[in-house]
Amino acid sequence: MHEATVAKYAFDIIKETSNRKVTRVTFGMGKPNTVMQDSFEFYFMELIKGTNIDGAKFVYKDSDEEGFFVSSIEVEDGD
Amino acid sequence: MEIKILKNVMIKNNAVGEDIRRKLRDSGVYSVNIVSSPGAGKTTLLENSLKFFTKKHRVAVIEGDLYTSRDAERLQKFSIPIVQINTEGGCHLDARMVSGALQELDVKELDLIVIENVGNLVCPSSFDLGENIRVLVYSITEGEDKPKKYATMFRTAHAVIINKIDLAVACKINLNAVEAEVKEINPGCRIFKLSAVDQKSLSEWNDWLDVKIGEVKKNKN
Repeated sequence: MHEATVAKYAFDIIKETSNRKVTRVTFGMGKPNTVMQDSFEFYFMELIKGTNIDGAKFVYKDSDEEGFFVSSIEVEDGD
Repeated sequence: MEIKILKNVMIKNNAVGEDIRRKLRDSGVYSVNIVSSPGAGKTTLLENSLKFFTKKHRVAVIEGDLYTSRDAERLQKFSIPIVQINTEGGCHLDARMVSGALQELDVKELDLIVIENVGNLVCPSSFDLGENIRVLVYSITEGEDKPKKYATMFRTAHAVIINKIDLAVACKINLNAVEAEVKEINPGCRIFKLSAVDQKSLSEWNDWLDVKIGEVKKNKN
């Protein structure tokens, strides 16, 4: 259930980073991270509909650091 | 183009938590976040501990609950400020909710704020509420296998109250084994073994918390 909150936090972090079209988001899955990937993605997909993140590919990478991270995003090159 | 971010998603919650902690420290107020699974005895512990603390300190309670105000109603007999937060199904309190609740309190006129979290043995562990200490109430009736099953909650607590010890024999619980498992997960936490319905068994817990409240209170301007 708290994945809904986590999804909103992740969404806000990405929106604040770039308003360009996001093509890929890499998440860091720490040990432990208390986030269920499927549940997180369900809420995250709802949030990004119609935004510059809509259509991005998601990559999840294991991390030794505790917690759940927005590691990086790939955006389309601007002018 | 790749942009490195490397931000923990909890950064926003934690920033609000830090703000709360700073504000309360500056006002000489100690804060406790009480977490547990549903029915472990958070409110009963409060009902009996507040008899002690309300005589010595100016106390307010922030009550987290999914939909009801039942817990807040149980504490009304103390005539202290109580702010109810209903999460409308949300499984935890977050720092923003607590920050909102603090707006309704005259913080400078308080010594202790107790936050009773939503009953849940998973999600609240991830959310810093700006508290000084997190206290986990663990009822032995939940079974002695729970510490390792819900390790994040046990690991992030500053103190663990092993509650309902009067039922240990009936529930076939080995209290020493339970305590050892909690210590294994969180060697630094303070452990209390008590029964929240038995006022006498609370004295060690009450005294321990009383010292902590006093340390912050003496810095009041």
